[in-house]
Amino acid sequence: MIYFRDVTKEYPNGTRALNGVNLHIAPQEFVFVVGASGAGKSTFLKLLLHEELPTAGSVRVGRFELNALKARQIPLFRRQLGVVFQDFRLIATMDVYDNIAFAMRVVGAKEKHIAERVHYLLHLVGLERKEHSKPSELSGGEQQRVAIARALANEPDLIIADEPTGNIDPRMSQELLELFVQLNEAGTTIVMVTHAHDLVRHYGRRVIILDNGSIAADGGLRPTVSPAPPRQSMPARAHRKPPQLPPEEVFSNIWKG
Amino acid sequence: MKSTSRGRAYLTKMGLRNIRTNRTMSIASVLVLVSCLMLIGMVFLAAINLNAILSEFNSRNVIMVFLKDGTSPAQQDAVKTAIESLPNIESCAFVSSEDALNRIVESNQENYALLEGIDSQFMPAGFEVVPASMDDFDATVTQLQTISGFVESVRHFQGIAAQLAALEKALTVVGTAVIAVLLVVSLFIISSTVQTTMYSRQQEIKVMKSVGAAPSFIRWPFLVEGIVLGVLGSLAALVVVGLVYLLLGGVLEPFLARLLSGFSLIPFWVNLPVVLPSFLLVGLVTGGGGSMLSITRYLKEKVYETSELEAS
Ligand SMILES: Nc1ncnc2c1ncn2[C@@H]1O[C@H](COP(=O)(O)OP(=O)(O)O)[C@@H](O)[C@H]1O
Ligand SMILES: [Mg+2]
Repeated sequence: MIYFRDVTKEYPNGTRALNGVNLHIAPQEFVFVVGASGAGKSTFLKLLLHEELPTAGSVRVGRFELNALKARQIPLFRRQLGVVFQDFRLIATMDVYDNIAFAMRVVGAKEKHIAERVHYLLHLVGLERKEHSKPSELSGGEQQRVAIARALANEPDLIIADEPTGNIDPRMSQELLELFVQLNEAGTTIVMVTHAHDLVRHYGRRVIILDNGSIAADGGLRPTVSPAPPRQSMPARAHRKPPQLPPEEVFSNIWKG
Repeated sequence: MKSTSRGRAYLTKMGLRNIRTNRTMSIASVLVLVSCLMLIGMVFLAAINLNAILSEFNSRNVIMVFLKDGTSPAQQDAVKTAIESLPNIESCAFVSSEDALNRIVESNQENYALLEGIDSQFMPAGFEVVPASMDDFDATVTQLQTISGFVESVRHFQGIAAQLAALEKALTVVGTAVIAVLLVVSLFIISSTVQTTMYSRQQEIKVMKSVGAAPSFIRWPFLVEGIVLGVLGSLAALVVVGLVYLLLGGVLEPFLARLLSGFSLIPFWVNLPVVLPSFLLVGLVTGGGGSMLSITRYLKEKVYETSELEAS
């Protein structure tokens, strides 16, 4: 699904944000991307979205070779992705329904089909009753769920989420992750940049750790045994287990805290 | 593509709705367009009327050929034939002594008392000759002077005619230049107004791009919006110009009529076939073109900005 081959990205000012990155994310994988600030996570996403082109090496997403993507193919390429932006990117003048429907109108879906799908998605993210609200009338978490519903609108094969739990409470973060897990089980590839260590630990999927522009670790993580992720209000410590796999050791070194 | 045409109706509705949603900026752009068109329209109408005034003056720049006293009707006819056989003669009309007096009385009604003593016999009869072209004015005067026999004198106002012709040329040039400059200014102002609205909606454009909207799809609502605003602006400007013309005309007309007896302003509707399409064209070009220009700029901008990701 996603191939990075010897990808180096140097910005015009000389900053080398990524340095010889090689990676392959197979279809239907669920991958967390973590790393300290300035490690290159944003650059990684920008390359993935064809926002920037690599200085050296090549990026391939699905059937699209991004280095050779023509301008008119960019919209087609983007429609295959469901992106949850960190700042939601909702259109302020449209209500919840239209925000989600818009992504489908872009691909020329029929209004009848749009109505069915949007109502299904609203149900999925629990916003049936906010259909006619404007984004400004929603809480941060609700806006985030609209953004997620929109990312799912066109049934993308690949969902890219940038800190999708950044603005929602732990319980909702968990619900979101459960939703991603469901989608992933239904065949959707998921790439999620996150800072939520406990979620990463809890779900125990493949974790790619970026450090200073290189992949510091890339490996599977066995999920923690607890049925629920640790919550602030709960004595979570008891459920935690010591590091089990090598990458975990790397994490603790890199996540200073 | 079938899929894109399906979205057009929705996008058109969206463009129309955007006008209402961005009410303040919409009103601002329309007002800018209206003021520019108002200036253009007033300059245009002023130029047209000045032209009319000048040609009126010109047409009155007749050459008077006065006859000697006691010329018989047969002799008058001979002179008339001689005049009409000359080149560059538009018309040649006989003015009797009585006619001449009446004219003076008519145009000097307020000073009637001064004219009381004047008798028609003081006014010489003659021919009012209108030359076909002002260019050969001098030659025509010379030729008229050479008609021998019963011609007493030839009078004309060549100096004024030449000045008026020069003024008319200057006015045409200045008017055209002013309109051209105003057109460029309005294009610039409207484009920057649209850009301001566009800037506030950069986010919207970005979202559209990031969900994979094709550029033509993104442009459509903005194009609709620009064109509708442009057309609304032109129509509003037309109404405003019409009203101003009516009001100003009402004030100026008596004044002009005194200056140039019998002259009246060209009615507004006479110029409508020129003014309406021109206004619509300017509205379409500035509204549609302005929004196309600025949206193209924003379409080039990136979907994902570094600053937005700095937190992650
Ligand atoms: N547009 C840019 N121009 C120059 N340097 C950049 C740009 N974007 C990011 N960088 C630099 O590249 C490095 C990696 O940045 P980034 O990919 O944003 O890391 P992260 O998202 O992990 O914090 C940083 O040193 C950052 O300052
Ligand atoms: Mg970043």
